[in-house]
Amino acid sequence: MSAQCELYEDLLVEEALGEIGEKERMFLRRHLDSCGQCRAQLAAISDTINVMKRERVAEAPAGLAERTLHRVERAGERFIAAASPYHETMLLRPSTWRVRRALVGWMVAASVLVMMGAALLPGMLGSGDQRIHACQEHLKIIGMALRQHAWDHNGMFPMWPGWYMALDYEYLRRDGVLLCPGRVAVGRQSDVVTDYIYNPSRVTTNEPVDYPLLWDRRAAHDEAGRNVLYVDGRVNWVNEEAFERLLAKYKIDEVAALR
Amino acid sequence: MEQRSDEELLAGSTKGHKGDFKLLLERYEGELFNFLYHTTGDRQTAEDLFQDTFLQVFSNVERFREGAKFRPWVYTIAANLARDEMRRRRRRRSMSLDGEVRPGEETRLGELVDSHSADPAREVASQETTALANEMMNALPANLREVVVLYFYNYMKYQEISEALGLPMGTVKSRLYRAIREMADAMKRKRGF
Repeated sequence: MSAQCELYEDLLVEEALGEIGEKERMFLRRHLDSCGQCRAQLAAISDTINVMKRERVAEAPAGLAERTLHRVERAGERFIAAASPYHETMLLRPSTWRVRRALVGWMVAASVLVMMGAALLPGMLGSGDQRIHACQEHLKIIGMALRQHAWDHNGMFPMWPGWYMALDYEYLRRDGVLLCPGRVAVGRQSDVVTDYIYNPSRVTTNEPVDYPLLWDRRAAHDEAGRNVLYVDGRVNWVNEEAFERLLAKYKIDEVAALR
Repeated sequence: MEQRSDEELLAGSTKGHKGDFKLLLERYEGELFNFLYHTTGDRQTAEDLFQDTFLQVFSNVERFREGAKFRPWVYTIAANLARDEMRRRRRRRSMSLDGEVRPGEETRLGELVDSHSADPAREVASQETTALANEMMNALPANLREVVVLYFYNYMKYQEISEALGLPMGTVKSRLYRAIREMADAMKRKRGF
């Protein structure tokens, strides 16, 4: 292609796409009348565009949206599996919350010591009551991480689903705490990330103090009740009747909540 | 018919409405899968990348600025993932001892042209057209291919492509024109012109 023909390169494409202006078309036509090479190039470009336009749209495979939703719900598992060592429970960043977070960090460290003590003494986890208490410690640790997240996000707790993933990045770098000691005793599938159920509503720190944030699965310990973490960070054992009244009181999605 | 905007559905998702996130997925599964399929040339890869795209949407939702548009954001994520995938393929291919090119992997235009005998027929059959289009697409570099896909298969205007990929409109046009010229050159050689 000659240096002169290169001036017409873009116009040839515009002509083939039908996007050329009237003036430019006349300009191009004058050149095409005297240039066989550019006429051949225009034919090839038009052929190419026709081939591209005849190509069919690829249909998405059936159920793609559902499979994606399912994967998103379970997304945090890989991140949790790659979590950091115990001592990196909290990552402090320079901010107005630094002092507050340092305090929380000490509280978490103390809780970790309690939990590790329990883990080192198998006898302590022998009875159901002791497992309930160990589970409460887990919930308290998670509760502190959740509240720390809320402080950093204008009072908003992480969204559901994938709440643990939001913690894993900055607030809760430790595996094990997301699993309930009660479930450890009865066994579970190896790929489970967390045994706890998170409130499916978008929760803020402005909710009433008895607003439930996270709780045990049904029959994690026994059929009579479950541990519940509230918005204010408290953890209590509540019987099933009281738990269902709590869900009804705050109109929490029962299907999601009772899994 | 769902009338809410993408941004409203995303906001609903952040409030814990699983249904909103699902609607968003259903709204994009057709066009985004189409984009990823034609960009990577492989259905399974396209499905994996579609899922990865929404995984990133979900895990980065708090970084989505109020007032921003969802569509360019999701296309930017998808295009970046597709580019990464193509880079990985190139690396795998260069590490391969036998140099075999698996279906859907990139080839050079020259290799493509050499691998086909000249076809004297002016009209190609539908199957051949599809195969030819895929081959021409696979021979393009990723940055040209994604513009071609959005223009021809997702029926986007220049302005929409510019927003989707975060590129100036002039760059979109020049990439499309360059891609068409490269494909036309391959076509000419293939047909023995």
